[in-house]
Amino acid sequence: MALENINTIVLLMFENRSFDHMLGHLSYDNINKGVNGLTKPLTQYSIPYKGDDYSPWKIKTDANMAYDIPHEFSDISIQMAKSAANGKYEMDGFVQAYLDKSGDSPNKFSPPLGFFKQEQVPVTSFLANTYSVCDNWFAPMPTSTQPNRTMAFCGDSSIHQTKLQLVKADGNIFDWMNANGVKWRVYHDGLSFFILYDHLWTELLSDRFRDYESLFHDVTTEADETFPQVIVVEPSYHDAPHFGSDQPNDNHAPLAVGFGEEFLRRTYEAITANQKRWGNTLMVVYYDEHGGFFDHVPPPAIPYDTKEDSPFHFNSLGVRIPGILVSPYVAKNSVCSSLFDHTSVLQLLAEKFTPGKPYSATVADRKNKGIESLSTALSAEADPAAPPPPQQIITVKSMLGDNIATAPSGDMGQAFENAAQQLITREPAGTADKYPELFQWKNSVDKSRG
Amino acid sequence: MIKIKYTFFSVVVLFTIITGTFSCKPLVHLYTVQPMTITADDSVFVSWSVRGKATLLTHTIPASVDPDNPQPETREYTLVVAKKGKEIKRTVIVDVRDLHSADDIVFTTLRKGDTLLAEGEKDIKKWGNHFLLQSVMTGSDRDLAVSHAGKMATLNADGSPSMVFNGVPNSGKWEIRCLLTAAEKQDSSRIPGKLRIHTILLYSKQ
Repeated sequence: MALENINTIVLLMFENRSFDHMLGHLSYDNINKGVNGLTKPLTQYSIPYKGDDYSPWKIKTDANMAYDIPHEFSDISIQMAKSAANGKYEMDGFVQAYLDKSGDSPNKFSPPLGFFKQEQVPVTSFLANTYSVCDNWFAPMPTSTQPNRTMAFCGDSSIHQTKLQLVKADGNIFDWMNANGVKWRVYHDGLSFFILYDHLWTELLSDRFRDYESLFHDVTTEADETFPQVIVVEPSYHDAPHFGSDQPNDNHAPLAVGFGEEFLRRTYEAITANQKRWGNTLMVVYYDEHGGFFDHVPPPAIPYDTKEDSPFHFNSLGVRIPGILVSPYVAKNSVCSSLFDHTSVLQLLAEKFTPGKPYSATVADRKNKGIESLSTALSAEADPAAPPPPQQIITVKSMLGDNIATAPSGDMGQAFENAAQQLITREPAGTADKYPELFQWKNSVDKSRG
Repeated sequence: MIKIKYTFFSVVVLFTIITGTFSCKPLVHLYTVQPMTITADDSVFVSWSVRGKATLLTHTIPASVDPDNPQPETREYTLVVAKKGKEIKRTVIVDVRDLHSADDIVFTTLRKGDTLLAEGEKDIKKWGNHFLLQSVMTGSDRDLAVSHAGKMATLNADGSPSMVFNGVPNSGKWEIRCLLTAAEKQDSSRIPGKLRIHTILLYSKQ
């Protein structure tokens, strides 16, 4: 079984892009006709708004957008557009959801309907076309970042929306890996997302959370005895504090995606740099949720009730996201259409490290409802070749955004601010050792808030 | 991109610049360009109310002849507002159409017993009232009963055009009805989520 040959599982989760938005071009441009992406003519994807008809369009230049795209659960309900006539998700409310929130005027180039061509996402496209692209992977819930990330790394969610909050981490993978003797490490290129889970702060301040710049060196030089079996790689989050030349690269709109492309290229180069280690590695590249961008595939009606005191009921999975499996143990240039959501990763971890024992009751329940393990995409035969990624210079039409003199706004930005402020207060010594830059940032934010 | 002057002949500019004395951030209170569908020789009204220094930029994007996704010529009107080193912008895109052009009208459906209903308003802010209907035909491969501007027409499934709405602006309220088929009554998942009609338009300033 291929899974027995995997010694290292690398998890890289980006932010807020849909499958069609990032990888719909694979089928549209006949790069891989087997992919369930966009096809011609684009007018078949009819997105009505006030009697007019809108369709996906090709983005010409990767640039920072004017605004983020709405993607809270109420917006996504509009985007998925369950028909009152036939009960199906028509996936045609993306223009309405955007205009309702932005106050913009409707136009043919509505931001949520734009999709990238290969030249704008060369690394994502390369990996998807070289290894195994998953074209049936959905966010676990039709809602925003915090609940979906919580589901991804805990297998359950105690929240249903993103807001200024610290989040419970019941069932998180770090406790689970500790309990099951799994060696793990997080490499974060900026403030870790896991700062939002105060239960994890001891780990956050430990040596198991390392600066991303250590990844290449550790992969190439560290002894097998200490090298982690599970690695979580975190990009620099757009909503988190940023300092000096630090550049977010998590692909969260309105950020251009070129920065994320460069981050993905560097990460791929790092994990393939040690040929022996690469021969037993699986890297999972996925997104927390679709970020409000158009996708044409309706999500399956697999319900979920959050673990809140008053549970919030979701009727379906969320919108489809890009998923790529990068490993010698996936068929080159293959398409995996098994039904995945983020708990498919947790199924894989349990199969690998606690065979015969599911990750949790919720993950097992989702498996019974049809969500499969990532192991279904693995093949018994290995092809250890690791073709180099495109070496082209990635250009982004951009300008510097807000600096640290600007206090965070929006729920996610303020949640990061709140968590960072509390970390400084409750763990001053550990913070000074691990995240010394937060003190200057706090000073600036406090001044900005007046 | 061309930096527009206030005397630019094809643009009538109504503007109010509200300078915020007590805030350092630029702000757009209001920005409209109307109508948002024109022909090549038309003027548009551009209105704004902002805090900061406003600059209006226009940019013409030629018509796309991409057979997969043809697009009419468009003009971008971008308002850039700057104040104390900060800048924000808002863009409105205007479609530029030929005097004769085709357009689809599409609305999502509701089931009313054995009838399927699609209704809504074709946006007058986007279309103005100079694009007049010449002919209308079904775009849903079925017979449709259509109401608009106090007139009613039956559109045949064979796609033959109706002239009932000849001379009426395409903007305003529309109602499209049809009967469910036996198969749709039996299996509601077969009911279409939208109904569509094709229209031929003639631009007229009369």
